[in-house]
Amino acid sequence: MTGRRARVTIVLALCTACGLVAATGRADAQTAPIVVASKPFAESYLLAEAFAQVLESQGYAVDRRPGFASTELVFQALIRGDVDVYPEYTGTGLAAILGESAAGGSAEVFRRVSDAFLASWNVRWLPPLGFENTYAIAMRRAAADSLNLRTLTGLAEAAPELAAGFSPDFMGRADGLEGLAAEYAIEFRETHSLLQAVKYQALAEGAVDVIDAYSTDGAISRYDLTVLADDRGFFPPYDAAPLVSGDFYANRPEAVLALARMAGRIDVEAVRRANERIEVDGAAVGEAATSLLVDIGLAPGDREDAGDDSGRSARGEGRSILLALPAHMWIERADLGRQIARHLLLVLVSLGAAILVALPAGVALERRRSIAEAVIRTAGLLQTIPGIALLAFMIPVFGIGAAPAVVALFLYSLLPILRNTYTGIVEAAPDAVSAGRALGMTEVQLLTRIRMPLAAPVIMAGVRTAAVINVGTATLAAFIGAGGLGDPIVAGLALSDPVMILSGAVPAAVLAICGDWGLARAESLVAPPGVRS
Amino acid sequence: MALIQVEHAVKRYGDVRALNDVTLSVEAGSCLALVGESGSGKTTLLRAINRLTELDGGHVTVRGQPVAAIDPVRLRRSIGYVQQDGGLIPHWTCLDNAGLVPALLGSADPAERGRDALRAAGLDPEVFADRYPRELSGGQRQRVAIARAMAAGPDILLMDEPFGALDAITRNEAQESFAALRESAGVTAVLVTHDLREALRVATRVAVMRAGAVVMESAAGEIVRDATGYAAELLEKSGVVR
Repeated sequence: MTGRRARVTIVLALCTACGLVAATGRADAQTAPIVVASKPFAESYLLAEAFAQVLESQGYAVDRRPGFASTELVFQALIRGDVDVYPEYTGTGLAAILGESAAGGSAEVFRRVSDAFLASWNVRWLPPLGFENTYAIAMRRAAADSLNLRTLTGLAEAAPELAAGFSPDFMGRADGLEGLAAEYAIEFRETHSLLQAVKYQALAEGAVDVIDAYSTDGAISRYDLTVLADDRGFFPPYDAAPLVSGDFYANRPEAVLALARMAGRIDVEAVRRANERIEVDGAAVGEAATSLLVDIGLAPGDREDAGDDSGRSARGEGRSILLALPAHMWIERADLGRQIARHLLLVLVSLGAAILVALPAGVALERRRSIAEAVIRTAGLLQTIPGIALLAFMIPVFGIGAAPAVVALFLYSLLPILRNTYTGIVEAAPDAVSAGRALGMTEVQLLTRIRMPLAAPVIMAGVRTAAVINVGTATLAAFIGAGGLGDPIVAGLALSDPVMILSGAVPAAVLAICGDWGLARAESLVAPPGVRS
Repeated sequence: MALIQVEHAVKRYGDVRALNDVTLSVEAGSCLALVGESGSGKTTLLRAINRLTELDGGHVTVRGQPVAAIDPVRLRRSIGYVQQDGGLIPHWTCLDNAGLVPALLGSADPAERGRDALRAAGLDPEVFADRYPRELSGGQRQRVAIARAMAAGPDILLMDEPFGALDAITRNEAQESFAALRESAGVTAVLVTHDLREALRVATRVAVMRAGAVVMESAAGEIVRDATGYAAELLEKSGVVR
C-alpha cells in the first residue's frame, strides 16, 4: 500500500512541477525571456538564431523554440502570444495565411500583408531583412539539360514522365503545389511527400526528378541543380522579415527596435553563404548566424550560449555515423540529459494523469456495460488522430510548450488503459464473482478482492502499451516547442543531419525498450498467485 | 414448520413470465429438488430465495421472515450457495475459499472453520489447504465449493446444478457423499437440476417445473407412482422409468 501511495505522490508532484513550468513561462511581460521560434528548415533556424543573438547582444534573455512543424502551428502560437517573434516571408503570409493570390511587386505585397495582419490578428511585420527567398522548382542539372528544360512552362510538357517529391508544407499550401499545378497545368507521373532531410538526397539519387527548393538553399550548388524559371510569375515575392506578436510590439519597444535595425542589411549572397555553411559544411547554426551578423556589421557581443538546439554533429568526410554518433552524444551530453529528463517528464505526467482517469472510468464502465462500447470507441477515435494533428489541435487551447503536449499524450494514453481495465474487470473470473455475490460479498469486496487482483496484469499491459506509444509520440512534441528528445530529431530533419536525428532517436528507442521491459516485469509481478502462468 | 415459504411468486423478463404464480414450501431438514428443462424457471425460483433475483409479485419468507425485509448481503451470508462451475476464487487457496463466509461474518478463526469444512466435504486439509483451484480436479473443486457453502454452518443451502459439470462416475460419488453430508449436518437444501435421477438420489422431495409453474410436487419416493402427464414424460426422458 505504501508503494502505491508513493507512486501517487510522485505523479502529483510531477503534475505540480509541470504547472510551475507552465506558470513561469508567463512571467512578467517586461522581464520574461523573448520567445524566438522558427519553422523546420535551415534558413528559418538561421534567421531565428540571428534574431536571438541580436536580442541577446542588447541584454535580453531569449527562449529559443526552433523547428515548429508548419506555418500554421508557429503562426497560431504567435497570435496567442506564446511566441514573440519568428522569421516569415511576405509571400507565405499572403498566400498561405491570407489565402490571397500573388499580385504586384515586393512593396505592394508587404503593404498588403502588413495591413491585413494588423487588422485581423494585431500581428506586425517588421521591415524586410533585405533578401528574397522564393520557392524554386529544381531538377538535377543533367536531367534538365537532357530534356532542355529552363522554365516551368517547359516542365508542364515533360511532367507526365517525371516523378516529383515535395515537402509536406509545399504540398498543403495554396501557394504551393496546388496553385502551381493549376497555373501551369502540370501533372506529374507521381508525387511524393518528402521531408527536407531526404528531399535532396532523393533527387540526387534519381528517386525523384523534381523537387521544391528555396532560391537561397545552399544545397542548390552542392547538388548541382537547375532552378526552373517561374515564367508566368506564379510565386509571389517572398521577402524575409521578422513577424512579431502585438503584445511584444506594444510592450517591448526597445527589443522591437533592435530587430528592426536588421532591416535591409541581409542580402541574398550573405544568406546563401550562411545556408551553405549549415547545409554543406555542417556548421552549427549559432556559428553560421554569428558570422552572418559579422558579415553585415551587426556582430553581437560575447554570447554565453552557443545556441541550445543548434550543436551540429561533426560531419567529417568518410566518418561513419556509428562512430560519429557516440562522439556527438558525448559532446552534447548536457543537452541530451536535459532532453531525456524533459521527455520522461512529458511521458510520466501524461501517463500518470491517464491512469488516474482511465482506471476508475474502466471500473465504472463495468457497471454500465450498455454504454461501455460507445465510450471505448470514442477513446479509440482519439487515437486515430495523427500525432502531429492532435498536437496542432491543442495549440489554440493550451498554447505551446509542455502543456499541450502533455494533454495530447494524455489523450493517446486513455484508450489502452481504459480498454484493458474494462476488459480485465469484465473478464475477471465471472463465475467466482457471481458465487462471491451469492455468498454475501459486497460489490466493493467483489471489486477489491476478486476483480482488481485478477485484472491487474491486464491493466498493467494497457499501461505498458500506453507508455511505449507515449515515448514515441512525445518526440513529435518538439514540433510545438515542448522539448524532449524530439528536439534533436526535428533539428536534424530540418538541417539534414542524420547524426543529430539519431542522437534523439536512439535514446528515445532505448527509453521505449527499457520502459517496455520494466513494465512487462511489473505485469508478471502483479499477477496474483494461483493464476500466474 | 416450513423453513422456506414461497407464495404466489411472479417474475417477468419482458413479456416472458419466468415465474408464474408459484407457491411452495420447504420443511426444515428436507431437501427439495426443483426439476425441469431449461427455461422452466427453476433457477429463477432458487435465486429469489436469497434475493439474487427480486420478485415482481408475491413473496418469499425464510425462517418466518419476509426476505424483502432482510438486507440482501446479510441474508446471503446466512445461506449456503453452490453453483454449477463451483465459482471458486482462482487466486485464493482452497482454505481461503473455504473460509470465505466465516471471514465475511467476522469469525475469530475463519481458517479453522475452513479446515473443518474441507474435512467434512471429504478433503484432507493437510493436502488441500494450500492448493489453488486450478491444481484440483473437477470433483475436488466441487467439494471445495460445497465446503465453502457449509463452512459457516448455515441452516439453508441453495444449489444450482452443483454436479452438472462432472463426469458420470465422479458425479455419482459426489451425489452420494453430499447426501450423507447434508443429512448429518441437518441442513435444509434446495437443489436445482435438470436430471430427475439426480433428484431422486439426493432429494427428499421433488417439484417438477414447466413454463414458470410447479406442475407436480411429491415425496421423492412417491414420484414414480404418482407422476402423470408432463412429469411422467420427464421421468421417461431421463430414463428413470422404462
